[in-house]
Amino acid sequence: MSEDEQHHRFTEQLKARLDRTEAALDPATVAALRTARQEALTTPRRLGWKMPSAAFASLIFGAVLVNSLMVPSEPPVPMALFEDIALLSAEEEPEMYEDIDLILWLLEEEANSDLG
Amino acid sequence: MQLPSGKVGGGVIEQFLASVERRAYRMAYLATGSREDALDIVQDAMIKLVQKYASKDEAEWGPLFHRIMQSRIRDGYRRNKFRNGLRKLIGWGDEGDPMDNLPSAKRWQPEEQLQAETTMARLDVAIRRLPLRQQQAFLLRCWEGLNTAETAAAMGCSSGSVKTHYSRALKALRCHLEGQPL
Repeated sequence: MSEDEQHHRFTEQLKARLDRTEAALDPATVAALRTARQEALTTPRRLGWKMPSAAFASLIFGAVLVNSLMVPSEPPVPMALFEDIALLSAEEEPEMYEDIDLILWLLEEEANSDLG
Repeated sequence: MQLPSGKVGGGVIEQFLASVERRAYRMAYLATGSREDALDIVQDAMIKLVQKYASKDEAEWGPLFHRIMQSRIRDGYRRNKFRNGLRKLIGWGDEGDPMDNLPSAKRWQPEEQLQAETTMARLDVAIRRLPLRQQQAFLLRCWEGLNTAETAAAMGCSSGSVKTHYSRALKALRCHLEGQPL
């Protein structure tokens, strides 16, 4: 048998086998296909889920866009505020050291008086 | 073509759909491995053909239906693949071998039925192992009997690609089914 004949025989066998699977479909599937066909023939106009989803997505996108254009953005935080915070924190530092010095001096005085 | 009652006139398109629905279902089933997905694909394709192309010439319905079907099968295959990937990622339980849902041939004798089911399942497994494009090219060329150009139109690719896919599909099937009865 030539290669072409072998090839032809093989594809014919596959085709016959596939035909058999088609003929052997179970009754429930055959009935489901019949129902699907009837529905396809009687469905007037189906928008499907993609159309409402696309419309909804467009609506949301539009709303977000309009909102971003209409609502004024919040004013920027003035730089002076950051500078004040830095100054205030800087001013606290010498006071803290003065307090520590005072406490140390008082402790030293107390210790001296005990000795004296 | 659309009648006021919502029914498509003539019944000709119904005859056409009845003549192609089983094979269409089998093709969709082989691609997705799911009965429900396959039925959805066939119904979607039927609805699209009726709603958009019923007014076309009858001779065009076949190629158009093939094209719609192949497009839907591709979508269904991708959706199924994504779903399975997600299932694996999340670690959900395996739903079992889809081959378990193969339809049975009840009118045969038990031994015949068993052998036929085994052979059918073997062929189904071999076809389902093929990459989708090879599967489509094989089914359209070998089973539907479309020529290379018609298959290319249905698959939305070049004739050269069809030839390559078909040749590889046959080679793979021969390899998988070698020495086994068909």
